[in-house]
Amino acid sequence: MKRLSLVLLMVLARPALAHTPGKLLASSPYLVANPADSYALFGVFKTGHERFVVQLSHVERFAAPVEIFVPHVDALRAHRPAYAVVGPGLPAPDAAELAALPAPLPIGWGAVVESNQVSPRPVFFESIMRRFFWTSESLAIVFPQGPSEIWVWSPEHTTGKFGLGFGVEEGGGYLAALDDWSLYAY
Amino acid sequence: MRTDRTLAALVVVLTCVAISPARAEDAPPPAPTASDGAWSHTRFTVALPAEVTVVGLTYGVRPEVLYRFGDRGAVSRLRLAVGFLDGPDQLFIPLSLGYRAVLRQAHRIRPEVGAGVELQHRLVSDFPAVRQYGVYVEGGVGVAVDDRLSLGLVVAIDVMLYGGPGLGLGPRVFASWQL
Repeated sequence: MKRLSLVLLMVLARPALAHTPGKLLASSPYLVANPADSYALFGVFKTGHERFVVQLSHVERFAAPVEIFVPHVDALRAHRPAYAVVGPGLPAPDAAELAALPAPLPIGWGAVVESNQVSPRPVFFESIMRRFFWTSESLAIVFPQGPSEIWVWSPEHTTGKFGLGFGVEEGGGYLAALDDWSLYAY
Repeated sequence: MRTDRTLAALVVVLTCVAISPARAEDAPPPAPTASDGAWSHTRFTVALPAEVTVVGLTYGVRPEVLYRFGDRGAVSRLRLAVGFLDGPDQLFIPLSLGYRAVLRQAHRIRPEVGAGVELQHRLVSDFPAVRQYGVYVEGGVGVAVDDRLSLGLVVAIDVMLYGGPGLGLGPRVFASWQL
């Protein structure tokens, strides 16, 4: 009976450890409720000219991995969205990074820019949704105390789906994927 | 005289007719022929399910072989299946070994339930194969078309425990043929 209980516990508990899903819209920023949690936010570039914004606020400096990824399908082979973590207290970008940003940087803000150009493109398998993605690879970024944002844009104006992963603590909330299954699953 | 011969012949014929069933019951069954459906049934059934996996979209076939424990009418079967399913981002090759119970076999509608273990391979061109190990349960119903052929629907749920946790769902329609 103990063994059966252990197996049931494994079956029920393992899927519970997942990223919190969310839907990114170009029309409005995504507000992160708990910046320590691990998020997997999905969006779609429909024109290639959109800018997606994620807003966070940390009570203290916080190091977290950030990566951007796209579904591993032939149609998205050239789709390489970029992202930047921007906010007060971040390092000042160089001229190339500043030029790459999709919008002017507010005065006093710094930026960490990830152009997602690593080659060959790294691949990872996401076992909850059972999908393969091309990824920019995780980059550890120290978020400043206070407000910051993550901007996502498509430098080559390519279109298609993408995902933005960041944060540390895995937890619940994954059932929200059922609200928009095709966005997360296909 | 002619009447007597006719009566005698009639008696012989009637006698033969009368005793022939008893002799037939005592006699061994006739040798089977290729056209006798019940003769050639073995313990094996092959099936060709067409499947769509809902989590990690793939679609394809999952051929399976079933071995029946016991005589015809026995419920229990050993199931071995290998799938070949393609999807937008991956080639999915699951290998399953399990138990299946086929119920109500005297009826046209035959519920099926089963469970087993599964090894799942997922392949893409630029990444090492992903292998996951877990268990599955399945349930469905078959409809007997004739003595050998059945058509039906099965829904399987798998839970991967090693190689990355995950929960899968795969409805499939099948045609099975008893060998």
